[in-house]
Amino acid sequence: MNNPEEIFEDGEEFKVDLSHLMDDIAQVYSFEHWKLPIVENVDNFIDEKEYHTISFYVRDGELKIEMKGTGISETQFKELAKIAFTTKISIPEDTTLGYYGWGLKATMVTAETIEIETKRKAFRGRQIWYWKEKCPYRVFKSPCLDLPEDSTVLTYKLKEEYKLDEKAVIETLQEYYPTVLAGAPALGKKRKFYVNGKEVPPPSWLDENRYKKVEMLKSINIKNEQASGKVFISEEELVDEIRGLAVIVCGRKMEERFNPYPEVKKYTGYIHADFFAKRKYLISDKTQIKRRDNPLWQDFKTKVSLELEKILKNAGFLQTTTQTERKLIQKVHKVLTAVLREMPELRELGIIGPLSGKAEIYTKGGNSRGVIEEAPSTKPNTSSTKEGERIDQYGYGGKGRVIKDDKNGKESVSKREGRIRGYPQPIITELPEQIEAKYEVGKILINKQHPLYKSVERNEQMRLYHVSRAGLEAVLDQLLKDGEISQERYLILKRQITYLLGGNL
Amino acid sequence: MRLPVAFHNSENYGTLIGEPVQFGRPFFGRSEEYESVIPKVRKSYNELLEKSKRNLKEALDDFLKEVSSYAIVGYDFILCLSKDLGKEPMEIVKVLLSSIYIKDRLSYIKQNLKKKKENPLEYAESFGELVSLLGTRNAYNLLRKNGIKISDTTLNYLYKVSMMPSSVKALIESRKLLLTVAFELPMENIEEAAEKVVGLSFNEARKILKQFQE
Repeated sequence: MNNPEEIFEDGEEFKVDLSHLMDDIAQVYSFEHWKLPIVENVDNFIDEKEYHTISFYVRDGELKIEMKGTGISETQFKELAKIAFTTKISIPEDTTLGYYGWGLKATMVTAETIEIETKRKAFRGRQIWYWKEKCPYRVFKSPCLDLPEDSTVLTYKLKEEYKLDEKAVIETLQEYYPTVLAGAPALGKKRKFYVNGKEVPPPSWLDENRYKKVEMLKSINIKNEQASGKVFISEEELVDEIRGLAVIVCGRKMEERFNPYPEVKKYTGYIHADFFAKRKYLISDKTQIKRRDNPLWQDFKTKVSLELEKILKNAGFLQTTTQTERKLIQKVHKVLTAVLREMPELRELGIIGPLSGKAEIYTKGGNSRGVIEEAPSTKPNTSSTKEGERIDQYGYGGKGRVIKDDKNGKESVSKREGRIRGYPQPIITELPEQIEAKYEVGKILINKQHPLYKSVERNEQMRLYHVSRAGLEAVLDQLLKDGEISQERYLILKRQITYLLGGNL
Repeated sequence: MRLPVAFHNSENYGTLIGEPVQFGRPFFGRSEEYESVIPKVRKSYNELLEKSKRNLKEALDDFLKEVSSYAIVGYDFILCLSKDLGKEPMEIVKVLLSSIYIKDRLSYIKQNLKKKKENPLEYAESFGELVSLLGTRNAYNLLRKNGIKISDTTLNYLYKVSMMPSSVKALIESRKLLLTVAFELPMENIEEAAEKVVGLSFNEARKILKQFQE
């Protein structure tokens, strides 16, 4: 009696509130609902490899969609109205856009009725979908269209609020299927698109003649899958909507462009990445790629960014870290070390020297005198003293018990060489606009809202200089405020910092 | 790839979250990378404070799961959280150690101890995160306790990798730079050194890196 079906033989199947379910399905879509019949039918058209041409006819609130190349099989045709039924996931590794099985059903929210007629080899079928008390119904009828070749025709009588015109259909196709319109194959096959008898042109941003340079993104390996595309370099700044790379999955453009360099306003392009559909990494309405727990996305992001970076650097849009700049960073590092070492006053704030630098470590016991007191502390690399008690040294960080030499002190101490953490930690964060930088127990807060920071934030070299200068000055300001140094000494030290830093830039 | 993120409990401004900087070293990431990461960490931290009123363990779990795809938080995060929640830091650490997130990370590390790593950078960052949160010694003990045998030196190397500039990390993630080669990079001129040893074997890279030490 292990089979649950035998144990619960009197049970009954779960029921579905169909009217509610239809509302829920419609809510899944992040784009305007009037686009549904266009987008969902094109996705179905692309998913069936035998289809080659799709034609839209728009007139008087009626939308007719004719897909040529194949039709719907008799079995599928009978199951067509079944919600969450799809024929597209029979092979797990098969690449298709549709796998939820509600796309065509969702288009029902825009229509009073939908007539679906198909011809596939010897099979001819026609069914009409309609509403009855907020629930969708269907009825089979005798075929009435003259279909000379295998095809499927859907005729939508659109609800008043979802009526559309020729322009809306063309723009939707250009928005969601830009590269397919330009002749790129979708799932290995080129397709043709017509609206009211005229072939649909690709969107103007794909016109390569508009750009100064076109660069290829060739077969980037993303966990053994391939991504390819093009980058267009423009002379003019481009509008927000077309900046970055359009990510195309099985012919369909994803909602958000991939733009790791938003500061560069003169590039656009696209990249084909069908594997996101193949591995089922598209979210609900298939306009977004799942990002969390998606190793493909992580790899895609890194590798495409690297390729893009090369192209944008070659185009002169991205700053490259030159040998000179690198040397400068090293110089600044040395200067900072020197500045900090030359200022005994900074010791009172626990700022002693370079990170993990050599320092005098005091331990308990010995021939010298010293004190143990509460002060900003840091841990030395010597783990314990002879007495087994670990005592911190002056350093950055919260207050703790620290040991130091003092001729008049009561403790006996000894001095040795060790390593301690020296610098306070600068953090670039948000403070009220008027503050440039501020010292707070072991941390130097650099304000990213300050106008000076804002003016240098896109230049790494200037940013480094700003952080170093403002950071050190914040420390001096604190020393002055605490009365640790005189006004005169403050000014001398400030000049010294500016001179030493400036002289090295 | 994950960027280190700093927390600071300011007397005047409450908990501040920002981009950590090391004086005289290259930045951990570009300013625009931090522009996208910091607001997300801040939002998640606020949610953590809210959710922790009901269940700290779950809230901490959700927070770490969320931010772990783009940020590495350290002990300063624990200190700030303890202040914001009025709890002792050790109390937070205990909850953290019992979280599903840490268990998942440990099991990820175990699975990837093999020679061929799924993602060498993610592997290094998983260790780096434990060191940042708990300190080297505690992280080492936690790993040993969970059957992960790794030397102090390797743990420090992996932490070093997790704190490298994003440009170098990208080379490791795309397997253009071997993890073992990254271990040997000098921190002072790391970006330049990394570029010189891209695509090289460990032995070839070592010869070149020697020049940087001279």
